[in-house]
Amino acid sequence: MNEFYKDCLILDMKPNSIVHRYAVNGKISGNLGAITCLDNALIILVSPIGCGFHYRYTVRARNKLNDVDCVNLKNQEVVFGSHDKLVALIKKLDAEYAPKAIFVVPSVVTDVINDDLTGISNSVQTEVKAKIVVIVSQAFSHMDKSNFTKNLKNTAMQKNSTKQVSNVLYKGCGYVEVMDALVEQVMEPQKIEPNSVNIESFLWGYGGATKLERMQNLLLRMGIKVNTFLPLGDIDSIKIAPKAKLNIVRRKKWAVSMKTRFGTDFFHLAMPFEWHGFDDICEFYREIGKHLDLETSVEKILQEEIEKYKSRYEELKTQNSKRRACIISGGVSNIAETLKAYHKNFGVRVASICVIMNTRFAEENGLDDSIMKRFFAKAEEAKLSMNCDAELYINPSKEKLEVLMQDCDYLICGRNPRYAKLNKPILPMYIDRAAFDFESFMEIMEEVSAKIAEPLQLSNKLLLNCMEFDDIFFPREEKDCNSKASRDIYTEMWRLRKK
Amino acid sequence: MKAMAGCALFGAVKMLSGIKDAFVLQHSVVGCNYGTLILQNVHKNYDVRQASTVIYENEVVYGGHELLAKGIREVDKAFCDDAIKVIFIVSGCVPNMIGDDVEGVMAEVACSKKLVHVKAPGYNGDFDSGAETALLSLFSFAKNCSKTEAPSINILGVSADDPYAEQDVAELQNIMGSKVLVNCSLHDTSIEALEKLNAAHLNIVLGNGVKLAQKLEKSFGVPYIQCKYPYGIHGMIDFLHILEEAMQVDFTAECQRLYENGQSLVRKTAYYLSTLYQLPVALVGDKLHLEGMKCFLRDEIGMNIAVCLDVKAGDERNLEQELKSKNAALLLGTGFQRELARKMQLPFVGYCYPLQDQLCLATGLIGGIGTAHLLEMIINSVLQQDYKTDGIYHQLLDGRGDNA
Repeated sequence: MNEFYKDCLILDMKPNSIVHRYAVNGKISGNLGAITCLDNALIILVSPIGCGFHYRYTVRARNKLNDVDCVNLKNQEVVFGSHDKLVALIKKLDAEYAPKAIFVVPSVVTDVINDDLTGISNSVQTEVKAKIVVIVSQAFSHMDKSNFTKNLKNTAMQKNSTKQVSNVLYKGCGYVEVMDALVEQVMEPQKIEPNSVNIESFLWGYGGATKLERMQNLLLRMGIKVNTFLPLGDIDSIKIAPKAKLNIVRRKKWAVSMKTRFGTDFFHLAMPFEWHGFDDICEFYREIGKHLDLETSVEKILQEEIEKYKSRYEELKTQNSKRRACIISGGVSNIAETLKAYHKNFGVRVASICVIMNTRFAEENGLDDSIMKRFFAKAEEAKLSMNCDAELYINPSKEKLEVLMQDCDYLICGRNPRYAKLNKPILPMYIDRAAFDFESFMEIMEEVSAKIAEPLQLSNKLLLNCMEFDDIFFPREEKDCNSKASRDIYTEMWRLRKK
Repeated sequence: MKAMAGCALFGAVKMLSGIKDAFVLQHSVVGCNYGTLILQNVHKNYDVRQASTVIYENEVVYGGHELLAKGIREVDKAFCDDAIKVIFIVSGCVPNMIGDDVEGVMAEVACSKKLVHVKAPGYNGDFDSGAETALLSLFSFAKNCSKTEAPSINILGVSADDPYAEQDVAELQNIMGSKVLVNCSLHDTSIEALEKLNAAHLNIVLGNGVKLAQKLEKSFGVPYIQCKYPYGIHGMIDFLHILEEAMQVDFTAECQRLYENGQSLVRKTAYYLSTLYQLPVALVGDKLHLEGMKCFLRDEIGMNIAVCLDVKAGDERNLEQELKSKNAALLLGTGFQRELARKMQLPFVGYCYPLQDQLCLATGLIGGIGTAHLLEMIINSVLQQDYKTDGIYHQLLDGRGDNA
């Protein structure tokens, strides 16, 4: 699972999370995120040059630029439409690069002038070899903020004991628009292969490729074939997606479309990080087995796997329970999952739980008091159901934190350097490091156990600690009032617009 | 086309990013704000002074007037002290298409800050025209004032988003010492400094800013000179000679010191420099940096400038073809060309905006120390280039495979 650390380093070095405090990118970044997963496909952005320039660099493109052509709309096209320029560019790219597909992506300008990109593309399709796929805007500019809030509310209201069921469809998310286009314009009816699945290769967290590869191997042992990963491969592998009996999906909207068009059933994972540990891995595959009527062969492999790792797992759990930890979390909404991972599955002895959160979290996300109370209640319920007797503290004072430090041997926390000042060894919190196979889970378990046995004690010479950073918005300082105000304006102008 | 430069909005926002007590409110869709932030300014995330009104479908139907007024009020409220004195409203494509009366809103909205509109729809104009419009808007701040006692210059065209601006201007001041002072440089300035633009004896236009300089000359009699970015030892000496002539100062000692710096540098790098001599180099850059870098590589290093491309007019698809046809052995450009260089196994040096994949903290690229840094980057890029890692004759096998 070395890919996990490489992903962390390379992705986190890009300042995406910092930019997200002040701005959000347009949905085109999502369009490109999906299309660039496909081989031998070119992208035409029907936009002015500025969009063609800045969307070449998006965070989802990891450490490369997006391969995007732009028609460079000018005054002329705003008045008369993009027909001539778009047709010319489609023909040019088709002749010079012979791609299997050309994706035509709209911009705010074509949306405002209501340019008929589908009509234009249809008119030229017979003259080019590449399949032209037109992305249709489901929202103007980008998806609105309400999905995030809806998801938070869903999380608050659902029980800890059940996996989250999300009704959020992410209409207008650029990624979803592309998936819908693939379902509508590329997929073709197929004879269904009974023991087969498609897996959506999107949002599986750090180390995603390894996770999916190992998931595929385990499914194969259970007699289940992965028909295709979506969106991955070239346009031909998308065409045959309807062969699968079941879709395992991260975004629901395209799966609903595929069910309507081809009858393909789907299994939706709303939040991968809530699937953690042996029990959840079993539940995951049993659910797939149920959909495919393969419960017996699934169960047989699950039992083999449990048998293989059980004794070592119990040994490590016992070892982990010997030292006391204080968990420091930046939010309250995932305390139940954090406890499940560390207390229940890793066997960590949790002495206390501190939530040090943005005091304006509820306000900034349009959540009322009842939702916040529900989050706190869920955290308490999680403690109770897991027999965890640790106290929960919300935004404890500096003095209180110092007292709590006397009762623990190490901290489980994020990367804010302020925690290094507490003078305790630190175990980095990897809440999203969920695994969907036993081998990967045990690798993580071995790592966690080794770190608990010999946790990293940060030096008091840590350069970062020569500054007093903001408790929440690291690496900001109290005096960075311009940045703080820019964030407030962004919150007011957008984040709270459709609360 | 594969775009290599932004639109008018990018040019405008970039030029305004260095005014530290001004706020840039983009009246546009979200992507514009995100794009202008992530391509450079995010490296300075300790001082973000920009936001977007976030035009959405509602405004396309009903107009963005209310939204803009709300945006202005929010900025006013967030900066109720004097930290921000001016709000620049940079309007993009959509408000121009739907006919938003930005200036009408500005006239009506209650706001304690001065409001300045910079119209910059992306489909109507390019990066340079947006930059010029933004720079010209700064004229309204200039007041009649007495000249500084010591000879002084304003530097127009350099912006906070330029990755080496801070170090380069500091080095320039270091070289000029107390003989000529930098009165105002747009990469790091304030409204007060803009009000005293006319205190300078001379405006130096590097890249954009000529319209502003012309207006300042016409209205206040401040002369201006358009200069190349002073890369290299001789590039800087030439620059100092221009100042000597225009301002009656004597930089003989400084030029001599630079020359000695150059000698020392050559002594240490002579072998490497001789390997660069007459080799074809491809150069990509913006209006601010391109000409100066071209002169340095051609005149001081002796390279053959096989490709020289202004990003504004550039299409990266054509660049790839040109690199192949002109047999370029080295590529200098923006962060956007790194991937192309990698693909073509070309040594690459990123030296101008956008350098989204490179942090530039320590040393700039001008003067004695800057030239040393630039040479280091060029030579190291060659020394560290992966080349024919599959085997020296691997291509022969590839060829055989193709024919089979």
